[in-house]
Amino acid sequence: MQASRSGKEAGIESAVLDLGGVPLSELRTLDGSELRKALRHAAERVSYIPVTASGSQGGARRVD
Amino acid sequence: MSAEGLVPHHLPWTDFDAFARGGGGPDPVRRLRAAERSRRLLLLRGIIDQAAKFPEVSVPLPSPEWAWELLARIEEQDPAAVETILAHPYTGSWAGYTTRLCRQDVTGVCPFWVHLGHVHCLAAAAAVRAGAGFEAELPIWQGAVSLPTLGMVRLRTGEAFGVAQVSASRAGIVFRNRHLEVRLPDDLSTETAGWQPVRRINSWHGDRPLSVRLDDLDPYRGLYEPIPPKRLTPLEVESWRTVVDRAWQLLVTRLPDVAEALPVGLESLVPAPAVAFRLPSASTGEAFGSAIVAYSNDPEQLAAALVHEFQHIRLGGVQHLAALHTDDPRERLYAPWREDPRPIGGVLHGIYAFFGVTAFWRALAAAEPGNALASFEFALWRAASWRTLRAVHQDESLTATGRRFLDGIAAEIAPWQEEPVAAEPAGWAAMSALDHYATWRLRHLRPDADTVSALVAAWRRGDPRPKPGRVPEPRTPTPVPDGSWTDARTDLIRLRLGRNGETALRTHGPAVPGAAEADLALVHGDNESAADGYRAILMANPDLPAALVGLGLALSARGTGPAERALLHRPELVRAVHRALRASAGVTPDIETVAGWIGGFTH
Repeated sequence: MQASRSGKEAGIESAVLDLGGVPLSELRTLDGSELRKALRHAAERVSYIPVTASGSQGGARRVD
Repeated sequence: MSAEGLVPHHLPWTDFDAFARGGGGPDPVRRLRAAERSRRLLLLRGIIDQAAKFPEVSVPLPSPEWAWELLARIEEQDPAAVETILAHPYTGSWAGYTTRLCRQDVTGVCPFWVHLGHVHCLAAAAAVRAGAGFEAELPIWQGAVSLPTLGMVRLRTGEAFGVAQVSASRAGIVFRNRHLEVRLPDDLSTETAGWQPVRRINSWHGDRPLSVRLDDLDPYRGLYEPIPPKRLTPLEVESWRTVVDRAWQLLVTRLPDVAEALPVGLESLVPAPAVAFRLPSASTGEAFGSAIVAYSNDPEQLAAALVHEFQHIRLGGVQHLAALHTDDPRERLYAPWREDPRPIGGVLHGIYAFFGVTAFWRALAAAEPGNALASFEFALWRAASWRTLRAVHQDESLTATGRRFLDGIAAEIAPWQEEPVAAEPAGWAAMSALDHYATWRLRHLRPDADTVSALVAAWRRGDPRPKPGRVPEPRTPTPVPDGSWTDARTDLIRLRLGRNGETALRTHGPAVPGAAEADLALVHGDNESAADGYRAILMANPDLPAALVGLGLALSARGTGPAERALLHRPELVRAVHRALRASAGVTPDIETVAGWIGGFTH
């Protein structure tokens, strides 16, 4: 994750590959190192997804 | 085909800074949604790849590749139908949960093929939405077949898990298994013996619509793992519609900027049972667009909860793109909205959520100067979020990006600290904050053992004013609590400051969970009775956090003597010394006397 090197507005370049223009029929056969890296990153990050719950009692498993 | 031409999602600083300041309108939220869509597709592709390597894991259902092919076909016919399914919050929860099962090679709540097979449910739901003809096989869990975003088919089954066939044609949509056949109604919002639709709440205020599903069916609507349906009655649904309508009216009128963006980021509410005097809510970063909210008939509290969860949703979306902190799970930080120490990630979420909550109560208090409860909530949460933000701003686990995010929040809430609040609600808010922190200290801070020993020795030799040197502040909290927790006094304050406060406090106060007679006296303003009540409790249990802090609060109402200073600012030290004295032979002094002695030289 770093500041954009492209000509885009300054910001953060994420590790999530933009699949906005990719039909599902193509996504199934898509390959390459960038995709593999993005797949690996997405799968690894599911261990770090925050769960937030408010209300400190009443049985809520909370969280923030 | 190569993916080399694809680029990563890009989060412009303008969006990032707008999120940090709690604004930005709907377009930045749409961009978060687009990134979330890509993230889910990556997880889905990973799951399908993994299943393709081990075909036996999907048996007795067909390969998940069938589902993908159906989704791809529907996308060509009706892209919006597939988009609805991809945007569905619990598609994200399912993808995350199933990915974890794959990575950890574990089964889950159901057999793995049932979890994996949920992808057939997603594809079937897209096909039903598109009105397409198709056939598929779907998992049955406890007699139910899920059609995410639409509803649930009820099939009788002898086992906990099974397989249903569905066929959709011009003749209709029919689900069947060995025992039963269910034909879906033409109007899918109609409930039948075999079909339970997801209900919607549609609210309008002015030109602002809010349309959310009230989802009591989807198996992946929970926080951690699949859960069975918990169907609301029609009357309960109507109650939800009524209170959401009123809450939405409040948000549109009092917090219009947030109301403009919120419908883009909140599309599903999971109803949870009401909790007396509370409104717990929850969300997960995997279910972008969803909030789990307990029922309350109070639109103000619900509006605050919706803003709270919308903040979590936005921040969760940002965190899929930007690292605001390192992966630091240590539970080591005080958070004024929690009863336990929290890791940096949780604290960051809390600051942002309560920043939003503060904004709501601030707006309401400004619009309704006589609303003492709104003023109380504003005073309480502005101080809590500001105090916490300042405490973690230089934390070692924050990244520079995370610090920039906090700077954005600070730019908004710093000026709010100086805004006038009526004396009574401001005073109660200060007391509530003091109460919370002192109780937290008692439970999670352990005083320095050498200091405790030195003080016990000084007491035994009758030293009225020992000079133990600088009494060290405990540095690292322990997550293991020493004593119980109650928010009873703050609940009572809310009763007192709400509508018909005096009557409500008298009528409902005794029913507040954990409330003692002394707490009621304190919030009624009878500090002498409150102090006597706490003394009586402490005679029986001198370790009880609620009574120790309560005594400190009651004493402080009449001035700042040494006992209340120690009880409110060093309660863990008072209790530790008193415990050691109790453990030794001889006459045990009462804890108020020990507190007065300690307060004489520590403050």
